[in-house]
Amino acid sequence: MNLSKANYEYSVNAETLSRRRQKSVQSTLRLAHLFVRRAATPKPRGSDRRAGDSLVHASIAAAILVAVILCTGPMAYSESLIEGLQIDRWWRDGVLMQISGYTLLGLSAIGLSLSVRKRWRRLSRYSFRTWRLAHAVIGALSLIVLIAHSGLHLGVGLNLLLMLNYLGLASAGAVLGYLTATDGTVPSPAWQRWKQRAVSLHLWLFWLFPVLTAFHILTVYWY
Amino acid sequence: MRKKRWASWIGWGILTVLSGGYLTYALWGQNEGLFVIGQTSDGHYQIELACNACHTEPFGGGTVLQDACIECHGEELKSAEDSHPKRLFTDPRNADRVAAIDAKRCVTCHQEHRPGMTRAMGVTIADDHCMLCHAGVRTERPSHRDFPTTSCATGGCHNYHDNRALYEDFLIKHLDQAATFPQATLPPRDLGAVLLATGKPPRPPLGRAQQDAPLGLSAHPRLITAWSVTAHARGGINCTDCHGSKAASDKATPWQDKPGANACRECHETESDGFERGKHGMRLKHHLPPMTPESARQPMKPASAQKDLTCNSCHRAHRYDTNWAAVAACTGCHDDRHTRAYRQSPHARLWQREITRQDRPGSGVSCATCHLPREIFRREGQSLVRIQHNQNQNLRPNEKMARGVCLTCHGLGFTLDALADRTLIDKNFNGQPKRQVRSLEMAEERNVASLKSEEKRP
Repeated sequence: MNLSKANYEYSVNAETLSRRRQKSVQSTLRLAHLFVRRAATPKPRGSDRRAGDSLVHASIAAAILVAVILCTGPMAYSESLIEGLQIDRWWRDGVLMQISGYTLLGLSAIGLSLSVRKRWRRLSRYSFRTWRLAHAVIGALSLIVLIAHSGLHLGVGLNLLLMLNYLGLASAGAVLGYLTATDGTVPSPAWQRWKQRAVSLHLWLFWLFPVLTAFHILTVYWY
Repeated sequence: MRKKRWASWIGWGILTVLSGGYLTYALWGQNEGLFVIGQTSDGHYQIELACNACHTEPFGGGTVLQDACIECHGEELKSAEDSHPKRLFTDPRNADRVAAIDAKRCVTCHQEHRPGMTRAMGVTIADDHCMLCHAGVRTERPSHRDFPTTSCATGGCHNYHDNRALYEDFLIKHLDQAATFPQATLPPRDLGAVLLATGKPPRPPLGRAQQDAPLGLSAHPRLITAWSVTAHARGGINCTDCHGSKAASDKATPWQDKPGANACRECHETESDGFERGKHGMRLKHHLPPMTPESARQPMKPASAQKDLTCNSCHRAHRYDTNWAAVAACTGCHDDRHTRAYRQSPHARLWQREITRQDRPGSGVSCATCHLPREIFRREGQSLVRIQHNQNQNLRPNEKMARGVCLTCHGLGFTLDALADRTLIDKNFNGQPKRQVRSLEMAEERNVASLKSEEKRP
């Protein structure tokens, strides 16, 4: 490769990079602008507003719970067997861990019914909006059960992978829930693009979930 | 759109099958480290990757784990006269206690892979666990009223499993003993007698000229000299006894330049078993590469980081100098405060006097004297002495060392005080104990009170 060609490629690469950087900054600014517009736009009335608000609340609750799980350290084990509440039994006792674990699995399975509702037209009882809200509430509830199941221990190895996968799934879901609840008030292509990204992330993170969960449960009994 | 959706589903399916396939492959023993749920305790981390050492069968549940605990620790518990054996909790009279804590299973108190809740000795339940069954002690015995509920096993007074040096009658029997006994000596070692008792008769001693290294494999004269002055030569153990046959055609026992631990086991079976039960050799028992100081959680000397821990690490090949093995082998790797302080300790001074023949045999105290102690056992009416090579057997809690080791030379009161004084231990017992364990005093008070009440009876 001669020098002029290398210089040319370098300048092209630098240009592409700078263009991408600019685009990314612009898209972040656009998103911020959209949030500001959303705040300023008059809110819809009646049941639509209530459902939208509930979805926002569930999404915010899920986001807060994810932050709590990620940012606070593991909960301490009780220093006494005869005094205090001993809530650590939830993440120490095998039977209680199975109860919380299967509850978590059950909630995740119920939460999945939104996906069935989307694809199976016969399942038309209640509006899609209600199903979506139930999905978000179940998602937030499952994070509370996850805290009881793990005692805020992120785990190691396969368990860490499963925990990060679940938290990623919940985070993407929380963002998606917020964007969905607000897209009626801000109908813009940029908003839709962000929502589409969150949908893809939510779906792709779900891809690993069944395998990791299956092996998590299998290894509990295997060992 | 429809095509794209199908492609996504197919891609999803393929990736799921691939990741599931990899995890199945890993579960089948190819990368089980992925499934370790947390750091292993200090007692088992050496064999962390030999999952089947404890998880002997898949889906075995608690029974398999319990069997694995007993397989390795059962004999130790038996020799310690376990004060909380399983039979105590299978007794229907104790059903209410078992309901409070299932003490029949080791994992109730010793869960593995739980670093956040693992305390000393691998205990994973709160220190006040004694109160689940013995809460009445605080009301029944005024002397115990003010003790914290967490201090039963942590204050040097009681030991859940090995209470041999701490129970009341034993304390009363050893009241008012001197701190140190003047003419104390250890029982002499006599491997020849042990081998004879186990059906291995003595052989005539060998000299340099009788060495039987194969022709063409000219052994270095230095090695022959080293061997010729050892107990091996005196006991008639020749080159081929350890290295294998000298005949090139002998395929069953071919010559090995570096024979493994099995060669030692031929004659030193109990020592090998002990070594493989302790932290030094437990990896070998589970067919893992030997332990190295580098992998230890204790402070070790960087220069010895890569050394493999086998029989020859302490008993150097051909030279088999037990004096070297008793101190220099330990201090060559260990670099903690207790080890570093040994050279200045009164124990080391006694050891120096013994090995320079200024004092009688058995009067010195080496590292091995306490950590690989001489044990007396009986065989066919004969008292025999063997070296316990499981250095873990009496290590923690350190009161386990009292009866088998310390009481040979020291009184019980001094022993318990010294073992409870962490600073003194760090100084390798160079000084006097600053802590006082009240067990003896309390046992005496109770004994006096009981004698008085007996006197008052008509």
